[in-house]
Amino acid sequence: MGEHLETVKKAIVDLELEDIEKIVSSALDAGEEPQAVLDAMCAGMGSVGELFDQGEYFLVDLVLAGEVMKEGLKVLEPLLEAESMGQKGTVVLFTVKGDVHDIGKNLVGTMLSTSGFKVVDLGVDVPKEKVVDAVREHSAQAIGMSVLLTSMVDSISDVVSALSAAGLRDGVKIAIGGACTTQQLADKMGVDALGRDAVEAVRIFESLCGS
Amino acid sequence: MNKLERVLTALDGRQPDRVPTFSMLFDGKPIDDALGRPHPRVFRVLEIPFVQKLADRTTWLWNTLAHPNLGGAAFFYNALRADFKLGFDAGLAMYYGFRVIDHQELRDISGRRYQFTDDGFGGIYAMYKEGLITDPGAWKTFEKMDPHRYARGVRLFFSFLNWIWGGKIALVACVGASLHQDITEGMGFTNFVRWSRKDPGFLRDIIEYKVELAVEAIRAVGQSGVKVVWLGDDLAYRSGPMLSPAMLEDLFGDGYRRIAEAAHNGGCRIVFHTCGNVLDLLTMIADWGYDGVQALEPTAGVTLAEARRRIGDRLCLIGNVDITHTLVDATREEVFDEVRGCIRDGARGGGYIVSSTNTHNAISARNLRWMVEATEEYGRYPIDIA
Repeated sequence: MGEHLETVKKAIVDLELEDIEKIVSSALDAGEEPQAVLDAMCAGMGSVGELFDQGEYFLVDLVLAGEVMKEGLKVLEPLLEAESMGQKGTVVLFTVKGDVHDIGKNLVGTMLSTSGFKVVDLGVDVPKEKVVDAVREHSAQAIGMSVLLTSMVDSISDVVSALSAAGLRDGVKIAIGGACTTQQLADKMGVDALGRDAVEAVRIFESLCGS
Repeated sequence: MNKLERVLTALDGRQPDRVPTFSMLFDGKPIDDALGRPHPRVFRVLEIPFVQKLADRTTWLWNTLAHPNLGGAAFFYNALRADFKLGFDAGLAMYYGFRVIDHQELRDISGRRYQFTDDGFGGIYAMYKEGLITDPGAWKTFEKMDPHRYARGVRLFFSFLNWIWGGKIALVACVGASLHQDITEGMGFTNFVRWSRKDPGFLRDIIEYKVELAVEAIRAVGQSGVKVVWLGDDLAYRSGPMLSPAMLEDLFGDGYRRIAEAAHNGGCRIVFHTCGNVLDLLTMIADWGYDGVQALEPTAGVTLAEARRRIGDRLCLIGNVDITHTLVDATREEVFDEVRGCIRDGARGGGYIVSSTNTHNAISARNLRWMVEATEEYGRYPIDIA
């Protein structure tokens, strides 16, 4: 990786919120390809994930890194090919019907996007019919459901049943995450995986999508 | 020992006659179940257009009825009645400042917007949606609650509840004013993160106001005669602290110390409630001067044995009984097994209180009763569990 790309990567790792646009622009002005700059940014996010795993970085740093990525992408996105992100697979993300919490879901979305997944974010309080439509429309390989409240866990099985009824369940892997989720719940609801945090979510979806 | 003595002894890290029990019930469904009355299925009424229009035109009435000193006191009168009926030693009551905006929305004094939803059982639940204090401009124009006025409401509210329930159950007071959680939710966590980088001074202004509000309110609790304060302030999520300990100390440490000091100066003990994996923060919470820490979620990887190993007898440990299965749909045997394990790992030598980690509408009143019964069976000192 050249000097400019190293600077871009370091800006992500150092959480340079104010300077990232300037640094990305400088790299492009120096002749770096947009895709190479994006790869450097994603490599930076990978390092942030490692630091989080090692206990050096905390949730606040992970969220800030996501914000730095967004600022950098403002410069980069108009220059990128539409298909340059998302080679690892398509994941439909949402918070279940009856629940409007989205910090965890958004963070998972950022981490997946920067790790090479195409993310279709349906938002919060999402009805099962919308999930089925999105999986079909985007030919998604996996879905990620966020649920914070124990009183809303039945929405998980509603989605699983709706995907089965639509004949889509065999072709799509399902992961859940959120404060009230446990392995026991994952087994009971018939989903494929349970994630503890956004960094683990990347490993889970890589495994589920076979990437 | 009476219930209050039992609770205060445990909070002081000493050994009472039996491990006390604490209820943090503030959801309608389990309260109604405990009191043997139907849970009103009123949310569908709010979906009728005529009712929506009527509600929108009469918000002044809802805000009068829902005022903490009227509706809130009535609600927690019943919550404490449920706690008493279930046999708890201590029960939580919350004074909480908010305003109904229309049939869809509620806003609180910290800048949170809530959306009315179905509570999963046909009742109404106010679910946090987003924060309003997104930047310094929004903070400048935000209508701030006068701390002294707020404290007067707190004093009246807890004096009333303590007059009714004081001799029957140890009342635990939450004043509805915290620091980290109020601020991160009042502006949205992502905005908090951005401003912590761009302008920490803006955050410090809000923190200072929140500390003043909490300190005045906690002084009022002391004047009401209630002896235990509960600060609900999530600092962690399921795999660890949200902020680094250094950032937490830098932004909030002084405020948390002043809040603990206000409680102690008022003759109260103070408990810090935080969800998530809080193991790395226990020492810090003890250093700030808190007497106990509550929640200790097993689903976040917290065990009482590890918590005790890390903090020794510097904090009373409260909680660790699971709310995803044990207190929702587990069998009597499962509840007894879990409580027995909690007492075995947390209660030797004193300084432990049995409680759920949190509360929600799917919690079963029957399972709460089993939790209390199990504590009475296994929690007599000296603890004799292999």
